[in-house]
Amino acid sequence: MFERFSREGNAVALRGQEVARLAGSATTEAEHLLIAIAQVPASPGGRALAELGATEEAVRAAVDAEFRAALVVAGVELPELAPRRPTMSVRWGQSAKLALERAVAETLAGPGRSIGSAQILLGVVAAEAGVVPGVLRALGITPDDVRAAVLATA
Amino acid sequence: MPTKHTAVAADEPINTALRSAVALRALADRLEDENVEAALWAGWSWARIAEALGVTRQAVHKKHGARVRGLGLPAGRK
Repeated sequence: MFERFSREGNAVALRGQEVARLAGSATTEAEHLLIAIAQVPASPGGRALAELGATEEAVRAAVDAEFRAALVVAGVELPELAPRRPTMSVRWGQSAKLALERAVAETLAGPGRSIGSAQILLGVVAAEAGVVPGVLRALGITPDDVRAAVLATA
Repeated sequence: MPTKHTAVAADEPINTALRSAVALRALADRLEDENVEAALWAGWSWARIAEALGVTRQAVHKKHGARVRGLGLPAGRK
């Protein structure tokens, strides 16, 4: 899977795993990749997010807001929880796998190009269900906004 | 056939409802992690924690043993 990744794309994957690990998650999910992309505003993907006001802080807040909103649907208010201890190791979660697979597919459309933060970002925001659509909604942006920003800042 | 846009709009309550089930599971896991640790600090044995959770001692140890190792928890006998 990672053989077509650029050094910069690999760095996103590694940072995503670290974001997940520090958050105490057993798996790296698509939202961790999104945070990892936002962490480097100078990268192609990070620049597109910054253009839309999606800083690392804003993305983290949106992930939190999405979780709270999902619980409210079930009539549950998020209780005060102890901060989670970092996990020792993380596996790739299904949402991140799908996002990375879409990034690969995205890149195969443009011959010879390697997969970097911009392609991973496109793979992440293409999710039609799960956490990411709600995170984008909390950020007040759409997948089309992100695609346009990627093209404009490329 | 609905346009992509209306399909997404109509699908949104479904995604939200499915998401709420997943979020509840995540919250339950966090509550379990936090409170298993609290029980161990309070000196509870794995057997007693397992009984409270309604699972076998092996299951609770397998799930939480590695995570709490190295925290200097008291070896519970209660």
